[in-house]
Amino acid sequence: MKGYYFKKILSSIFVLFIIISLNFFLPRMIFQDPAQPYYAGVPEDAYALREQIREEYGFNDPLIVQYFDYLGRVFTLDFGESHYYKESVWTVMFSRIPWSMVLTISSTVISITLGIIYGAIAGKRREHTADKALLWLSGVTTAIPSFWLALVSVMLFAFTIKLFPYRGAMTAGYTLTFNMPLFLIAFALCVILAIALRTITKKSLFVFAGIPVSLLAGIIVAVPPADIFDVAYHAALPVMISVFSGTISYALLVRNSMIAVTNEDYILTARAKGLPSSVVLYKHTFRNALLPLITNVGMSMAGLLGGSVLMEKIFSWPGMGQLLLDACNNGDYLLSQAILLLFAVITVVCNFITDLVYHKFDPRVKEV
Amino acid sequence: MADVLNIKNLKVIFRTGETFVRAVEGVDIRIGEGERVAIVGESGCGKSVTSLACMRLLTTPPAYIAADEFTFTSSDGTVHNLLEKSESEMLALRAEEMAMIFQDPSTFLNPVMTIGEQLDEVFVYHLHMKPKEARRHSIEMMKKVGIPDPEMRAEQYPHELSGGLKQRILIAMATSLSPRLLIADEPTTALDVTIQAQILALISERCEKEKMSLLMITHDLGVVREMADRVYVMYCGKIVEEGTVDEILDHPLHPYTKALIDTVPGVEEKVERFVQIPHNVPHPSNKPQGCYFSNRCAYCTELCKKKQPPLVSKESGRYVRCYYGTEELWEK
Repeated sequence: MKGYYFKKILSSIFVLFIIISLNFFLPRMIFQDPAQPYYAGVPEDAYALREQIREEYGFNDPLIVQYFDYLGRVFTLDFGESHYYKESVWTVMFSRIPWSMVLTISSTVISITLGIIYGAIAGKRREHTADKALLWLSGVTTAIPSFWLALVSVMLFAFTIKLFPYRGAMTAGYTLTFNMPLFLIAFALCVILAIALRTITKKSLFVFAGIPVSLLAGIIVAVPPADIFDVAYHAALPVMISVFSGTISYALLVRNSMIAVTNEDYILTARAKGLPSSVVLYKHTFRNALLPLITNVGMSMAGLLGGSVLMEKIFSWPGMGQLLLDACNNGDYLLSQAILLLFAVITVVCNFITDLVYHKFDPRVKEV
Repeated sequence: MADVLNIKNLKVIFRTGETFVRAVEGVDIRIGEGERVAIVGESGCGKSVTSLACMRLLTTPPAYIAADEFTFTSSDGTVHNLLEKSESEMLALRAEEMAMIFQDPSTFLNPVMTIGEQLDEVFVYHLHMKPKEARRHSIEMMKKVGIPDPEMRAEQYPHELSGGLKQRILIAMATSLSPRLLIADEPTTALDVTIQAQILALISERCEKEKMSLLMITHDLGVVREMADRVYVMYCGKIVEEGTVDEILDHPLHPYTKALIDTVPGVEEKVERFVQIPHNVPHPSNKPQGCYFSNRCAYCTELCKKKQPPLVSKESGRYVRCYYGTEELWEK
């Protein structure tokens, strides 16, 4: 067991190393001069000055020296300063991450919940109306790109009916009030409560549910209700669009694996034991049918921060996806490098967590 | 006392879209109290479907069951008409009165539940026991089927056990409420030869101790000799021969039974090539017009190809579905 995790961590580190290297070389393969951001304010023809800047920041060193220089900075978590925002890359990123999380976490949680429920209904009552509707809807969501759906919805619900705002995360002119000490207190209290419940009941549910619930509790305490409402009002349309396609794809997954598991031999054993059909369904079928979902959720977790670039662009949502897009357009490669690296780290970490969770639910994996 | 299971003219039809497949066509089976009965036949002859029909485990649709008589007598003497039972009434019969063990122990246990959890369920849902009490009974059952260190095994998952142990678990699960009838659907097919003997001995022992009747589904004539008092030979969804185990194995009357026995190689004689029955079992949707065995039979005549022979009684309890059906036939 320990050896397995050790191997897993080693391979994760290797993957990260490759990503860091790519991260270094990719901007240098673009025609743009990587030193460009440093010339800000320097006239085009001030060659001597430009050369001096190049020398100073090491752009004239051999590539390999620059590469090791970059590795060194990554390991000390020094990503430098964004030339466009004139702030440290860390500050810029941290001002955007929570906004991305609002959008993606809420849509993922809602679509997984709805998807499981719908998938279970469709899988249980195969060929009935709900099942046929699901197959039809999955065709529709595959055929319609989500950005198109988003654009049409903006036109319909924001301009024609004026039901929802069409841009931004808050009403123009407002800023979010966030009470950090209150948040930390509420968060810590909930975490302690979860740990206590886990110790008393010995149910791992409290570990999995504890972190999101604590975060939620912290936010509710730290942000005034009016602000929460305003953000929710702005997030409603993009979240609904993501939920629509997300729910259908999760439901299809659950439905298919429900049908596959229903034909398994051990379901026959469970029925031969004289178990009521509800027990066969929830205790035997459902638990096995949710296994593929864990992998799927794990993968989409990785895309939680970067996956909604399109959605953020369309709704001018001040999140990470939008930030990455702007960084690329502005040639702010220090910022884009840091964002890409962050996405990579999150992906690797999420894969690792998925592995852990999978272990919890499928004992056979331990053999690997 | 009445027969445990009495089936007359059982028919099972599968419907897929517009096509109907007749898997079982009018089968008569009778199992007396404490009797050990075997159904023998090749793959696809309908023997598993018959056993699943007895437990009412075939789902409708696609499967449709009909019979002139389909009764099961439980241990208190009540006669149950299995055709008219609702699903909830069947739940009470399964495991308590009739239980089943299956072919491949590795796929018939739930991979994500511990052995203990799966055994407990029988006690929890049938006898309404508390989890701790159920676990005590489960461990008791595991001891009865000869599982070493049952406390440790109860915490393990199916993939951590060998095939033989898993089959023992399935036997424990099926016999834990001492049902009146145990149906064993090829219980040794997926096991090693050495383990097979142990499992057969265990099934016999459990049947004797709990006074269970046994319905053994198999294609292995060695298993039949070991385990059965009476034998039904099935071919293409019909019974072709019925008799006691000695009559069937030593004095077969139907060419199919004879051919089956001939395919078993002896230990002493040296054979160049195994004897085999020519062709395959016809697909249920494409059966011959006359006798179903006519296209593979060495003694087939024009009459056999035209008209189906009826099941005729030879001596007491001896039936054969063949126009010729005598031992003199083998002399030719």
